[in-house]
Amino acid sequence: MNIFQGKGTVGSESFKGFSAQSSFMKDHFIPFSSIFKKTFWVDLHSFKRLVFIILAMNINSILMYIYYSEPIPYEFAFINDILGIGQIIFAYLLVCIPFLIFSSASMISEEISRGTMLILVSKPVSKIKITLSKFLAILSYFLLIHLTSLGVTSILCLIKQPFNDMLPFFLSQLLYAPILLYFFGIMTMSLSMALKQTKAALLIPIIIILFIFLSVFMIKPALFQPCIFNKNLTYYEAFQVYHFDLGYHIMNVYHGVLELFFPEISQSMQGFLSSWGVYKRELSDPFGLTFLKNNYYTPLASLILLMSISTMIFIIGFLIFKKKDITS
Amino acid sequence: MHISLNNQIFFNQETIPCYSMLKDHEIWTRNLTKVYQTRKIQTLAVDHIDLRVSPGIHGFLGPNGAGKTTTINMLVGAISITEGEAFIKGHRAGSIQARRLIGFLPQDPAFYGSMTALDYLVFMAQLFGLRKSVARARARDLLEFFGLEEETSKTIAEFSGGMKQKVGLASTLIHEPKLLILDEPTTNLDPVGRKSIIDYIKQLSTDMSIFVSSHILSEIEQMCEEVTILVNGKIIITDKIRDLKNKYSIVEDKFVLDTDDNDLVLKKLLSSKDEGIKKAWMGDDGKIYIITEERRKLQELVSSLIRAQGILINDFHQVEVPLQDIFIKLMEKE
Repeated sequence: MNIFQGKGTVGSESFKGFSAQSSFMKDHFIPFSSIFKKTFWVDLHSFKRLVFIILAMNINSILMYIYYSEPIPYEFAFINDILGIGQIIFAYLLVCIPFLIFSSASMISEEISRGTMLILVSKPVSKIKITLSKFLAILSYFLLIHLTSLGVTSILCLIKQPFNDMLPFFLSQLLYAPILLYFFGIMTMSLSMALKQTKAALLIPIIIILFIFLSVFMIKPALFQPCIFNKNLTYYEAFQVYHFDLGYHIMNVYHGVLELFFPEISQSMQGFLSSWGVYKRELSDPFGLTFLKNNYYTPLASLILLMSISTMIFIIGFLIFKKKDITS
Repeated sequence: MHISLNNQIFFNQETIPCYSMLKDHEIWTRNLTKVYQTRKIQTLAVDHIDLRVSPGIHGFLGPNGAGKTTTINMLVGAISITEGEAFIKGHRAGSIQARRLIGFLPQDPAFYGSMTALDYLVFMAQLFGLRKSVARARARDLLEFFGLEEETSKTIAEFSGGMKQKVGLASTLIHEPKLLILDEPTTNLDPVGRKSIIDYIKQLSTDMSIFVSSHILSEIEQMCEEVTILVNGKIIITDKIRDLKNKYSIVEDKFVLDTDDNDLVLKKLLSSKDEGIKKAWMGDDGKIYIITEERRKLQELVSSLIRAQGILINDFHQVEVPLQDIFIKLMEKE
């Protein structure tokens, strides 16, 4: 009985072509790219979701477009001062990252609970290939969203307001977003591999994000007060909280990226970064408008720390997933 | 200790059979064991089984919870083996090489509901490294084979249970496997769907070996030449169905007799208890059913009755013992 009548028949011209293809293509590239494409187009992509995320990420620039009736005088027209903070807080931390977490959390655990992972692991594809292709698909999808969102922001700005620092703004955002996406994406995906329930994999990173935000408003102001044991130090410094403060490291890396593209960091940005612990107010300044850079960690060290933490979590998550029994 | 290259066993020192011997078996396991361990409880799901599956179509029988799915999941590499070893055509179970050789349909297979059957099959083919053009051609051929060629625009979520099962079966064939492992392929299907899947499995068995698990004995009887019966994680028997029937029908023979005067014959049979007749009764079909331990005596009795009463025989044959009876008998023994 020969089921394959067409091009798929063994011995036909096309099948000969298949046998001639390199074993790298057959064993690695084709399975990897097929999982990548399936994750990208079937699991992640939906037009409605895409439009919603891009609009949500651009609320700032849309509001700017609506409310700035007249162009700002050239000497004050700096996009990083006007949109930069909104971009990092709103577009990334409140919109893009939660959506990324939402998508990554279900990526492995959902496939296991739905039973489709059993099909995947019975095929000649290793678990690391499944995991990496899925992660790469998530990263690519959200990078594309990020790029589109930046494009929308830039177009809106170009139409309405000729900013001085469009290019450095664009480049710094372009460089910083992958770092954030990698960190939160890989962490959530690791939890998705290690934990049984999608809810748990979703909840932990969301709690981390909320904690990072709430700490800025509720805990850090208290920690930045002079310490009663040593008036020269804040509680934040005295107890060396910065070692464990994820918010500090995330913003320290952001500061490092800004330094790469901007000749100097504006006062408003310094003020914003001071609430995260990257800068501190100069106590001798009666107006509190002078900021000093805290050099607890260099931006590169913070980056290495973030990458190491996330990669370590990924390795642990993957080892748990590798040993996990996959049943339907 | 054995020498292993690319997960193939080439040589052994008494403990592991040589590669050629393993290769002759579609599935070969020794002391295959699975223990599920939670914080407090240890559950022995599969208990040191030695499974030998020769080419052909092999049934894997057992009641619910016997350990069939666990065994199959170990063979396909989805779950870890606690103890022992398993080989698929000479390749260690769960290795990439072994997974290349098998087509696996799990119990209650899950699908990506938003995909069309064609896209799903292409995706499955690409997991085996097939180029897209080849994968598409094969997927179309398979859809045609399973009578789904008209359904290419529908998503799998819109399919009926029977259609989904056909897609599942098609996905196991896309890479031309050497061995099909089917875990309860007819569960949750209506009688029409069941018949259709059984017919496909029979057709496929001409080209490849099939290892099929089920707790529906009549289906296994229709499909398989050889069976392994698993109870409480242990293999209680592996044999050809024909041999099993011969073996177990000796213990208790059941005959059916149809004459032109069944009432009279039954009366005579019941009055001759000393002739080795254990039980005799009139069936719903109006024929006489006899259970005897001494078939020769029964034959002599029937022939003497015919001669004495001048009765004509329409039918007299031994009833084939259904697999179900053998299964129940073996279960009772256990």
